[in-house]
Amino acid sequence: MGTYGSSQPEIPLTDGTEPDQIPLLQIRELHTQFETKQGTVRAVDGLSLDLYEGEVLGLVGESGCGKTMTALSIMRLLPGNGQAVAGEINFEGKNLLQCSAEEMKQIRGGRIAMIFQEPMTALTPTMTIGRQISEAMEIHLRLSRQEARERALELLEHVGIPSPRERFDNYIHQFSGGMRQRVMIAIAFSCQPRLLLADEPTTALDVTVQAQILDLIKELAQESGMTALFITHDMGIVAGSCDRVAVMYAGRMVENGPVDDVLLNPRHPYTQGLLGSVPSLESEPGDRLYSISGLPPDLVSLPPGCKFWPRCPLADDRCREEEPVLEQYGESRAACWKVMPLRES
Amino acid sequence: MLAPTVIIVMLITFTLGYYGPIDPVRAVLGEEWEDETRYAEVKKALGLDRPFMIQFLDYMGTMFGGNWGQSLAAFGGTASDRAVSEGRGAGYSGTSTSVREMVLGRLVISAQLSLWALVFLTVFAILLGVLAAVKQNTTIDYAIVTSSIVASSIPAYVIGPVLLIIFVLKIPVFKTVGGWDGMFSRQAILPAIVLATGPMLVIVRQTRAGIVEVLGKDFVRTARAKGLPERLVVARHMLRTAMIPVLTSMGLVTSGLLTGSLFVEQIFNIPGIGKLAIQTLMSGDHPVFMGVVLFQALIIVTVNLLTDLLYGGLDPRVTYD
Repeated sequence: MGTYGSSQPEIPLTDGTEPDQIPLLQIRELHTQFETKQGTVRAVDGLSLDLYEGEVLGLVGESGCGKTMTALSIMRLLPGNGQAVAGEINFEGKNLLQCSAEEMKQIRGGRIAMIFQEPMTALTPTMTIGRQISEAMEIHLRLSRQEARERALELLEHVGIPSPRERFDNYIHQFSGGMRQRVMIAIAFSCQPRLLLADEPTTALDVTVQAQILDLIKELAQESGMTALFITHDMGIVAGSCDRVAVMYAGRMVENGPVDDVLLNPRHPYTQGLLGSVPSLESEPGDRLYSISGLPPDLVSLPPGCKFWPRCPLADDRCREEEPVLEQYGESRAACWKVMPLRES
Repeated sequence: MLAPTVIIVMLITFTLGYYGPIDPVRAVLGEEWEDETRYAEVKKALGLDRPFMIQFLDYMGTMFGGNWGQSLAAFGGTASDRAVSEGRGAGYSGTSTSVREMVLGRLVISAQLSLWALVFLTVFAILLGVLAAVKQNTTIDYAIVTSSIVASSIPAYVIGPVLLIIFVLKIPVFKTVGGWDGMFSRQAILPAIVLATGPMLVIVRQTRAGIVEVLGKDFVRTARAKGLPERLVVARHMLRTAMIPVLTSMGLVTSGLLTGSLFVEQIFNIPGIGKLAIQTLMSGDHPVFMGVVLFQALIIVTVNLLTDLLYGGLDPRVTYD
């Protein structure tokens, strides 16, 4: 675990910057691939990421850039024939990629919990919501069925479900989307995990409900001092909820740093593009919303050089041939030959 | 739904019986049937000289009145003696010629046999189906599916005698070959297994397909993300959803078992309703045969209704207004 720490540049411990400590979760050169008839899909391609105790890291990028696959690689719940073929995911002194199936069962739900995107389909339709919350506690906290029931009732109340006693024996079809996500959150927090992976927890919800759910997750995470990885494509969520942000493109990291720094001074043209796609208060009615031209690359046949060059307005010959690596620029790091000049503040 | 279905079934069975090849008068008279005056006498006594509609209404009255009429044995005659002696058979005590008592007495035996077959099916077929699905596209999966195909493709009249040869003659596990000695006697085991092999494939396949379909669902991933052992993921989160199509087949299979145990009852000499149907058809005991047919139709209707009610037990989204 400590092998990488020594070569890391010294960064002062300030709010939002990387603290000088051993990360809780350390992803090193993760490669996650799927074998398809068209060829090998490189869903995650050499991603390295550190997550420090108590911080909330936002993982952003377009659909299909590997955010969800990163989280599922951590949980070792990749669908189909997906496999983390190389790299390390270190958590609490263990490389998760080498843990036995038994060890992973202890970690899943107990040490690392995950909140899924689709509250409509992510909960079992034929089981009462109460049992869905209490069953994990019976396993990880070794509670009796009755104790787990009591805890589940407390949790339901805590996540803001009115009259939990009546709701305990309800089924998921009797709940609205926001309520379902609250149940999902209760499940995730039930065994007091150290790390929370939230995969677009609010994407499928109404805008008004989104804010409530985000506040709830933040509040619960702060109460328990939990570390969280927030997967999202919504820069608003990153600005409002995260300490640090990591931007992914084509399965790799292109920029990361403290939220304020990255949002105000994006170094990578892709981050610039993402931020430019957010409507702002200054825009006039009728203004066209900026969008990054082109589509994300085909993960089966990635272009040589920088993976973003086909869509990049600044690309030159070097970008087309040589792949940039992450370099430190101020408080943040970016992988680009054409790093944006810092904005005057 | 129930009442019109039953009346339509009654009309169809009655019409078939009325125009069908069985002549109840001949069955009663036996050799004497060529005597025209005797023939007319018996025909009048049985009420068969009346018009179709009157006979049908009379028949409905008898059925809804609850005693379902009398076996031809009540009218005496040579053929009817045969009907009585065979119609009751072993395991049925009593000398009643009431159709109701004959059918119900036999039905109890068939129901017990079918219940065993259902138990075998639910335990083995569903277990094998789940196993095949979880071990999808492995040797275990292929072995389970192939052996169920084999088991279900061999007809009962082949499996039955083969099992009898093996387990009675070669390895004498069972001493007696046939007959019925109550639900918990050893004699019930072999026929129940033979009865269960027929629908085996359907249940194995349905269970496998049901589980495979939910395997990739988001809620299964959520269950795994909780760190549940795979056994609980299957039992708690997958099985109930996967069982909904299986229940449909189970309903059809149950009707089939209750009404279609003809071969098995014949092979193992079990005096169930299937055997009664064959015997009365052969002997020409028209009222009893009609009773059997009508009762089997009733069973199918009832089992269908029960299946619909059971959906609510499996799927909480199903409600009944």
